[in-house]
Formats: sequence, C-alpha cells, structure tokens
Amino acid sequence: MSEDINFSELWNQQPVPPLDINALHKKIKQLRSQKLRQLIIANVCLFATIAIMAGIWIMCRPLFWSTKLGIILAVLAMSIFLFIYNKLFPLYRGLNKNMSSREYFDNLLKIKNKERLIQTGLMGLYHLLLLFAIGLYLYEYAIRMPVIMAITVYTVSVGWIAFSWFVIRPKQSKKNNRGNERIITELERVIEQGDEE
Amino acid sequence: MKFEDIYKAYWQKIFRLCLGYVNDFSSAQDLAQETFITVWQQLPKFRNEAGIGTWIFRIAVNTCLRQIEKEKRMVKTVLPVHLAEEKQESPEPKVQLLYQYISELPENERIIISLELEGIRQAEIANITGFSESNIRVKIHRIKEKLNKKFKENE
Repeated sequence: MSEDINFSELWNQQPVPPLDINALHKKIKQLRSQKLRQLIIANVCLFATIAIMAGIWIMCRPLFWSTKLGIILAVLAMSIFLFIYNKLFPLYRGLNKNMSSREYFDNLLKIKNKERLIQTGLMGLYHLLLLFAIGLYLYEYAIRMPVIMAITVYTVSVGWIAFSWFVIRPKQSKKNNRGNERIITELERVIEQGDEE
Repeated sequence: MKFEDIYKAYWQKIFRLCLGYVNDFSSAQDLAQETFITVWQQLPKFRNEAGIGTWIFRIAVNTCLRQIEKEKRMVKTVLPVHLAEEKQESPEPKVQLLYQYISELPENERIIISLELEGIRQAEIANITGFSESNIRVKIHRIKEKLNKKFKENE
C-alpha cells in the first residue's frame, strides 16, 4: 500500500502561515539596529582604550622613548584583542548565499579554518605585544625606584603575563575554538554526505 | 521583479522547504523570513544569470544548511512560545509523518527531497545544490525508498 504514497501530494497539503510583510519589515529593521549597535559598541570600546592610553601619556608625561613605545604597543595589543572579541574580520564578505550549496559550504569551511588560525595567531601576538609593552613602559619608572622595588615590579608584571599566557590564553583559545571546531566537523560531515554516490 | 511579488510567489514554497528541513513550524517560519531578508538585501545585485527561482532556492537552502551553526541556540528558543500555534498545524497525520521523516534524513538529502517534492526539475536541483544531475537522480531514488520504508514500518 505504501508503494502508492504520493509524497508530492502529501507535501503540498502542509498548511503554510499567511504572508506577513509587516513582520518581515520589522525583522529587517531589528537586524539593521542590531548591526548598528554592535558597530557602535566595538568602536566605543576601541576609542575608550585609546583615550585611556592617551590620558596616561598626557598625565604622566613620559620622557623616554621606551615608555612611549610601550604605550603604543599596549594600544595595539588591546586593539587586536577587541578585534578578535568582536570578530571584525572581513572574511565573510566574499560569501554569498546565492552560490550553489556545495560551493557555499566549501567556502564556509575555508573561512572557518582561516578564522581559527587567525584567532590563535592573533591571541599569541596580543600576549607578545603586551609583554613588550609593559616591559618598555615600566623601564622609565623602574630605574627611578630602589633596585628591590624595581625587581619586584618587574617580577609581578612578568608573572602576570606568564599567568595570562599559560592559564588565560589557553582557556580563551579553547573557548574561541570550541564553537569553530564543532562547526568545522559538521561542515565536513555535510560535505562528505554530498560526495557519497 | 518587485520584492513583494517575489515574496508572494515564493513564500509557500520556501516555507515548506524550511519545514522539511527543521520539522518545526516556528523555526521554519524564522528560516523562511531569514531567506526573504537575504533576498531583499541582495535583490538589487541580482543579475538574472541563474533564474530567479534557482537564485531564491539557493539562498533558502544555504540559510537552512547554515542552521548547523545555530542548532544549540534553536532548541532553547523555540519551545515555550509557539506550542499552541504548532498544535493546530498539519491536520493530516500522514503529512506530519512525511515532514518528520524528511527532517530525520541527513541534511543534503532533506534539501534534495524537499526540492523534488516542491516540483523543481532535477537539472535545477543540481544547479541549486551543486551536485551532478545523475547524483541527484540516484539520491532521489534512494531517499524515496527510505521514506517508503519508514511509512511501511509505521503501518
């Protein structure tokens, strides 16, 4: 009996919700404001960081080039962190939903792999820059301190960076990659489905 | 072609495709809406190379497939709000079963059979999905066998 099932007929019997152009317009509006909000937050964070660093520059009036370079490196490091955190890479620009699904998934997989590499690489760069930034920034103030105090300040600073490198960085990297790994595995699985004849 | 005309002409087809993919009324509605938002955004760039139908179905299929990135989030959001609404859909149990069985298939098969049942030509399905026409033909045959088997088991 089931040989006679007309799937197309059953398929078309499914009730469909009525057209609602207003709901669609509402959603488009929401999407626009959401994107704008994200952009504003990212920029406010970035400018606030730069403003704080500029404030330090102006208030502390550093004399050594090492201090100034330290501040610049710190701004650079924080900008990189914000960049990763806000996922501001323009990687998705070349991805159009009007490609064939096979092409779309191949591209998506490439992007996800690239994103994973960039995130890991940038996190490493962030820590390295921060290490140099703090080292350079402290130099001017450390040479005016008693030796014991200077050693203590450097030990604490390097200790903090080491803690961040060995404890915080792997955690952050794991968190970033966990989502990506799952998606990459899923993408590969779906692409493989298509290859089965 | 005006967006409103496209929306009217394709809303039902796209909704059924999405429902075949997720078998959840409100999620399908969200996916269909997401598809039309992309259509609305990209319409000015549409150059008619692929034919409007193929173009819209490609967007819908990729929107559905992109769900694998969001699956965990979906489970959390769907349930409480739309329970009452879902109850009144699909009066015919066989229809419900068909959509359920389709949604249990592997992702690519869900898409292919939904397009086939929507009456899309196999050459166009090949164009939408990027698989060869012969591959599509074989897959459709196998999927229908699978569905028949499932219906038989349920009798």
